[in-house]
Formats: sequence, structure tokens, C-alpha cells
Amino acid sequence: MEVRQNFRTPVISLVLAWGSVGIPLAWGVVQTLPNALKLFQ
Amino acid sequence: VFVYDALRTPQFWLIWWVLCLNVTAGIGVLRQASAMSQEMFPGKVSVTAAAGFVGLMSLFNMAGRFFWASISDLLGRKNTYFMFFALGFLLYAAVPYTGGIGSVELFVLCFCVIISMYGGGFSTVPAYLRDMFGTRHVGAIHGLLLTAWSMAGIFGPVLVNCIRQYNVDHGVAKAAAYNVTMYVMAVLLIVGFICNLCVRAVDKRHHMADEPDAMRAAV
Repeated sequence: MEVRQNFRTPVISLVLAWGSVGIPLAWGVVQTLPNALKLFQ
Repeated sequence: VFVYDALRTPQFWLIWWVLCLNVTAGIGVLRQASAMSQEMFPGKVSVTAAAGFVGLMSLFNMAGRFFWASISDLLGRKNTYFMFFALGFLLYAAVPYTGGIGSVELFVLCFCVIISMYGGGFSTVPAYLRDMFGTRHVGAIHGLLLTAWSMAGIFGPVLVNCIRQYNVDHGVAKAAAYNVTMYVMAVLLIVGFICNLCVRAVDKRHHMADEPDAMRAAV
């Protein structure tokens, strides 16, 4: 039987972790899409 | 299944070829995407737009890894690879047609779906290995399987380049020089489909003793 510990990751850790991935990713998407749209002009 | 026993199973080598053929098709066109889009649509696709096309493919490559791996939890790994090969075959075979009718939109759509399945192939294969061989040595088995990626990384671009160059040297217009390549890729995917079809549960004689995961994987 699996025992689950009631552990919550601190919000600041989650924000830092997702931000370090999400912000560069979003920047890349924002940079890419305008160029990609030129395909359809 | 113990890592060295896995190498003695047909399942390992079938999945090796499944990954190799899926990646060969994807990586070949990924590397040539910019040149291909400009040559197939001269005057329609600028250098900047071609760069945007490569970027768009990268986004679909990334999204495909999330999407197809998640779908494989519902469909099963084998069925997901069947989709890669069947849908991939249709899309590769359709690419020359999109060039023929001058439809950049269809061309881009075909390649975005194709490249999502290239990414999906990578993200689904660890789970496929787990289903076949259990969890105990899946890391090492996956490491060995990635030699298929290395092989495909050489084989795919070389194949695309060689066929294109052969066609150009024999007087085929640049816009049509990739047509044969696309058909060759489609045939490679049929071979991959057959390899995937041949994958069966690993024989119990290869299982480690007292390995519940391996026993479950064989059911």
C-alpha cells in the first residue's frame, strides 16, 4: 500500500521553476510566430 | 527484463527499427525544411518566411512530444506508433501534391503534423520500452535504443540530400527534386509500420525472477 506524504511545494519554488522554463519558451514562441505568419502572406 | 537479455529479444530490435525509421523520416526533412520550402515554392516563400517555417516546425516538434505521449496513455504505445506510420505515410505522399498545386498552407500543415509525430516518437518510446521490458533496467535499455537516433541522424539527411542531388543532376527541376525523396520516406514508414506490427509481448523466459513489472508487461 502506497503511503502519500502530505507535502506541498512552496509557491515561490513553483513560480521560479515554471518561470525559468515558461518565460524563455513564451519569448521563443512570440519571436517565431510573426516570421511563420510571413509564410501565408 | 535484464538489459543484456533485452538485446537478445526481437522486440528490442523491432522497436529499434521503429524509432530509427520514424526519426529518419522526420530528421531528414527537418534539416532540409528551409531549403525545401524555398525551392518547392520559388517566389512564394522568402528566406525570412523559410526561417519562420523552421521555427514553426520546432514548435510543433515540442507540442507533439506532449500531445502524442499523452495520447499514447489512452491509445497504447503500439497504436500510437501505428498512427505515426499510417498518417505519416499519407502526409509524405501528399507533399509532392501540395507543391504541384502551389499550396503553401497545405505544405506547412503536412510538415507540422509530420514533425509533431517525429517529436511524439521520442517522447512515447520510453513508455513503449517500459511496457515491453518493465521498469528495472529501462534506463539502460533506452540508452541502447537511442543508437537508433544516432543512426537516423546520419541516414535521414544524407538520404534526402543524395536523392535531391541525384534528381537535380539528372535535369529534374528544383521544385520537383524533393518528390522522390518524399515517396522514399513514405516507403520507409511502411517498413516501420510492419516492424511495429511484429512487436509482441516479450517471452517469459527473458523475464527476471520475481519481477512483478515484467510479469505484468507480458499479460
